[in-house]
Amino acid sequence: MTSRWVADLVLGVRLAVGGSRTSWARLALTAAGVGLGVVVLLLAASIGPAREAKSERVRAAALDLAAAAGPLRAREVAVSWQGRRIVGVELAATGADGPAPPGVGRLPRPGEVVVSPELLHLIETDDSVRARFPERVIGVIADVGLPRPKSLLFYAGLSDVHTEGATPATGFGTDQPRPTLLPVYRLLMVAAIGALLVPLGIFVLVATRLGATGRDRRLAAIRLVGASRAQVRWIASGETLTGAVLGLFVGVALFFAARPLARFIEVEGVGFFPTDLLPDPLLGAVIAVGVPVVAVVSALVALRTVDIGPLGLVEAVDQPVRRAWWRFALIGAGAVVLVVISVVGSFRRVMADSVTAVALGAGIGLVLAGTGAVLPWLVARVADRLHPEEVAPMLAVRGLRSDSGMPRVLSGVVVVLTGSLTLQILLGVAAQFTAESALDARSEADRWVLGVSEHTPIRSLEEAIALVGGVQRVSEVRTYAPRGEVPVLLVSTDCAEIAARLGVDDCAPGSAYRTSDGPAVPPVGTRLTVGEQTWAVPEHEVVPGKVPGLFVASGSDPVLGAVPPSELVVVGDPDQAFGDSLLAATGRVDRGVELRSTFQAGQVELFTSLRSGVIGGSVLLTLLAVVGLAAAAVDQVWERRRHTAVLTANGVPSRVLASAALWQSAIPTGLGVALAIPVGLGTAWLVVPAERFRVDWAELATTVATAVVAVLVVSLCTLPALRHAIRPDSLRTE
Amino acid sequence: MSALLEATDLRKSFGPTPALDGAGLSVRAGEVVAVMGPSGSGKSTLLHCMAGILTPDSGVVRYRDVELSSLADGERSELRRTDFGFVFQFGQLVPELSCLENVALPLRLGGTKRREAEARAKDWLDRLEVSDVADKRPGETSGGQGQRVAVARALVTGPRVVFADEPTGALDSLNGERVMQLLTTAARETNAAVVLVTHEARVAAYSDREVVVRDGRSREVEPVR
Repeated sequence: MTSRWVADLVLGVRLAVGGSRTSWARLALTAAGVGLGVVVLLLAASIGPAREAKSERVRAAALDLAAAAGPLRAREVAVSWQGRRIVGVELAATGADGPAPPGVGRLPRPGEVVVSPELLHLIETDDSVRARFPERVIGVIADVGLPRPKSLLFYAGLSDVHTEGATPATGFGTDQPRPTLLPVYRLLMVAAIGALLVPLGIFVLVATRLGATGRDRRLAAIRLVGASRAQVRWIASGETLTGAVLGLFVGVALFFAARPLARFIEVEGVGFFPTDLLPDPLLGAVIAVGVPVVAVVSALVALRTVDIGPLGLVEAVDQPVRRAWWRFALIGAGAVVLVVISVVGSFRRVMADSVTAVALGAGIGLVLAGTGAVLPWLVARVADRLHPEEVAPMLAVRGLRSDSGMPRVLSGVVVVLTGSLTLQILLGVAAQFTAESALDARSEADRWVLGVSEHTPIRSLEEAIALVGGVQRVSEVRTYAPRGEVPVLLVSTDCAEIAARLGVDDCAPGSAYRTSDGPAVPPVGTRLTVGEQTWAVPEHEVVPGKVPGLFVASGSDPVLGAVPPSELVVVGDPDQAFGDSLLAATGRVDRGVELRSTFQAGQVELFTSLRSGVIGGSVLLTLLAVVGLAAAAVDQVWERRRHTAVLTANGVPSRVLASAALWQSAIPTGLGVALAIPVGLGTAWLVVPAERFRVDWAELATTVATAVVAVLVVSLCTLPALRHAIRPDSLRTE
Repeated sequence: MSALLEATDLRKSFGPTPALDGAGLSVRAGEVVAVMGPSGSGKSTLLHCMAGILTPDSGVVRYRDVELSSLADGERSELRRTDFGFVFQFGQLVPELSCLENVALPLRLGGTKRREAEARAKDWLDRLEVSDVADKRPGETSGGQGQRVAVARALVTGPRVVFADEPTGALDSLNGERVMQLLTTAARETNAAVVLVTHEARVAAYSDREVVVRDGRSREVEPVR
């Protein structure tokens, strides 16, 4: 019995690789379609391990700071170049055997630097970068020491002048956990995974169903010579399995063939080494097994709804009408999951819970799958009610009534569109949170704080800053925390800066302030040791606020004036380019100057990379959907060539047939858009907090227009195939 | 001699259109029966009902005293594979398979080993004088060659009844004659009955007797010869 179904399965494989031009073309189309889908799936399955690998390297390269003395002294520095941050560490061994950073053979000595390949390229090609690295380049950091291939990273020998300001370190590598994502980013990621995987699944299904009409005819011929229904199912499975397995191999081959290119591709700071892109073993196994299984199950499900008889009759068996309930039930179930998640707690809180995250992804996936399922039903219902007068729309409507191929294919596009609309809203919300983080970190957009060390040549630095266009004011800020019974932070700066920080307007040299809700300060007259000298707490005014510290407009106070500045506050343009210019200018004087007002750079970078990933994923899937649509559209024209040729033979002009073909795409597309907009926006509305919900109608219109144009362009591309189909020889069937 | 296959008072409608209206036909082992009639008279529907491909709305089809409508789909499929053979005008050969594989297909579906199935298929291709197209696909053969391959496939399992629906309808007269000669000769050699649906008297001339179907009703006529 077992050998019987194996034989039937093998017969199916034999049919798939029939050898005729048509069967090879069909197989190639299916394999290409499934292969592209598999490439994206493997890429998605590699993201986790790739991030983990990158994170491991970052952690391995992180300085392990020591509380007291250690074998190293290190100073972390950052240089800005044309908006890109060049980060590095200046190092010196305190003993004979200072540990070298990962990917570096030995510690660079003063006057030596080890750089990443990308930085070496910049040093070799750009004078301004070379000026910032006067040291001798003694080597290149190996891949193991770089977060990503195009990282701008260096390790330089610590010069004597900075040794005092450097921090003791025991070596490299930290056990600290990875920084966690903002809840809204996790939300975005989960939603993106849900929204991107559903259309991918539909795309793979569509690819395996290419040539279904021809297959049904073939199976009917086999039924005639005595194959039972069960045998036909096995044969169909074998046929579908061949395309799916071949597609799987094509996908794996393409993935590994394209993997080396990863080294050269970096989008907005997101890049990986080729070796990072190795699919998670479990997910890889799921893909390897899942794709063929999904293909076979879809073929079997499709055969359950029709009876392929020996005469080639394809009759509906159990579903005389398209049932609607399960399609809407999918959307409803997804919506219920989303509502429950938002009712259970605020989405910020629940996003910390991975079970809820999975449920959220599943909820969005259900809504999208339901949307894809509703479209063919909706198109059939609308086509039943439409009775156009013109011939072309009439032919299109008749075609839509009898054939669900085009709406089924368009389901993939509509799901991509729906998912994109949901993600657009989520990206908008994430952007709002990111902007807030920025404002939290920097109360005034035009104030830039440069952190300096006690060895930084302040005069040279101020001269360099003065040369940057747009600088309005530079204030030196000195902070000192003298030891005493009542801890206090002394902040000494000019009146302009005090006014900016505390909102006072009566500041004069010698004035002192503390805030009402800030930490207490020692009583007036308390003597404190500042540096090597004694300093008495002056009379001070209490102002509203909670900024910590005793603020002194020091003027010519010799004691506070002797404290080296810890910050320079530069007031200038509020845009990021100004910050970059500042870092570029100060980097030439001292690479150790740090731009502290760069608002939560990590989170912004994360948001940028997430946005890139989401947009990249959407673009890739849209391309896949369009490729799938094109393949399926040509397949449809080919399958229906005899009907088309009959119409031509009966005198229907070819332009009417072309117009009918466009109508046949336009009607489901219009309905798809009408479905995608409310479902996409509705899903986003359920997911994000109501007060955050914003719709960018221009962006929405662009997305919708892109999808519509893509569908119509694909339809136009089928016209040559249509012209071929209307030749009289298409009337022949044998 | 009792009937091998017998249809009695068959009625079958497609929607509101009646195709059979009390038609009947009896076929004995080894005889060739021509079913004639104008287009749309119901002769093909009669053939499909007798082969168990279509189920009549009413009436009975008995094959070796077993009522076909009482058989499950699997049993009817098995009958088509072992006891019945089919030669149609169109759509019977699988375009992806070679002619040899097409002829061996019913045997393979029945579980015969490939080597044996192909050896028997080769014999039949030889007998029907088309062994030169064994490795070609149906699309690469002429109409006459294709129909002879179809005849070989119909006979390869040693069926008791061959159903031929306009087997020469797409052939020129010379090829048509040749196909009919080969079909009837081979059927007689193997003692297979042939139910031959045709509207051509020239083709019907190869039969032992004729039945005319008109407006869904059948009527036996005297042999033409």
